[in-house]
Amino acid sequence: MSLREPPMMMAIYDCATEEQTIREFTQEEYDAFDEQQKVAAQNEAEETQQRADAAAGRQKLLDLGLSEAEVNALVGPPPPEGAPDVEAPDPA
Amino acid sequence: MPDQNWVLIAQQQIPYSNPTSAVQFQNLNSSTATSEAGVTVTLNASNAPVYRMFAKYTIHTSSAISNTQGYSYIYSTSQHDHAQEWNGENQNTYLYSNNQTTGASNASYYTTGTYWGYGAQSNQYSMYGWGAQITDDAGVVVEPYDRRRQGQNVGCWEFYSTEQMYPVHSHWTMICTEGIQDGSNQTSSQKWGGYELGSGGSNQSYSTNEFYWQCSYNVSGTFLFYRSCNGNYQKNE
Repeated sequence: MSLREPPMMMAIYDCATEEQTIREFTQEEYDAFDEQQKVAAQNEAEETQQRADAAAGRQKLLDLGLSEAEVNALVGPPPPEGAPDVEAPDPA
Repeated sequence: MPDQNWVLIAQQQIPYSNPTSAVQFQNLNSSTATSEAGVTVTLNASNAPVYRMFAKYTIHTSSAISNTQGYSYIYSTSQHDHAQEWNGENQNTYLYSNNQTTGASNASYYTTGTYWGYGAQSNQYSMYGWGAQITDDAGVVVEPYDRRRQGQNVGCWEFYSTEQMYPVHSHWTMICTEGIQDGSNQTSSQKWGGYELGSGGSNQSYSTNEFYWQCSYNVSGTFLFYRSCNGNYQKNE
């Protein structure tokens, strides 16, 4: 019986025996995975906030009267927004 | 013929029909190879100081991959002494097929391992940019979401034997597909590709006896683990 549904599987190659084993995560490994997911979520939230702060800071610089070129020189270009493709409007 | 300096000490094939979420290589320092003299030797820091894994893998989801959902470490999470990741484009890795810009930097700083999720991409989309159904040469109708038409991630992870004390691990991953997560075929949609570069050091007591690789979603693919050697070594002859 699985510890979790759907079970998470791990592939292990032992270089001493030169054999591969595929088995379900142990409870300890599930716990470690869950903990890592919490860290992932926390990191994701922090990085999202950093991106939002960067965008807000960029806008404030523009509001102060700096030109786009000046802002780019200071903090780099803005992230791309997926502008229309003028050279190849349709995918191949 | 020049010396053959690399030996494939381990490989794992994870079939599409039986995916896993983690791939692990154990007892790396028990690996053996055959020397030029025909003697089986254990690979160690002196005769095989470099560890390198190449991977090509499909991630079985249509969900976006956050950076920390792709995760790896050498031996244990406590042995990395900082790792820095660089992700391209707009700090969330998504490239657009109609837009190229200079990488705008995104370096995060970790001590528990390496994170490469922004350099990976989910591979189970409902649509690909080149259209819907096709019929292959054998007359088989292939749906746009069929496994034969899914994208593939590739990556490389490299580190050194414990005794070498190099600054010590590096890795890169990348992907580019016509996969469009939202099912459209617009080149202005995101999720067209991504890449990441990462590197870092180790603490003073790290070991290289294991390598652990994990994705938060199911993965299938090929994982090839090599060691570099200082002479003419062979494996599986």
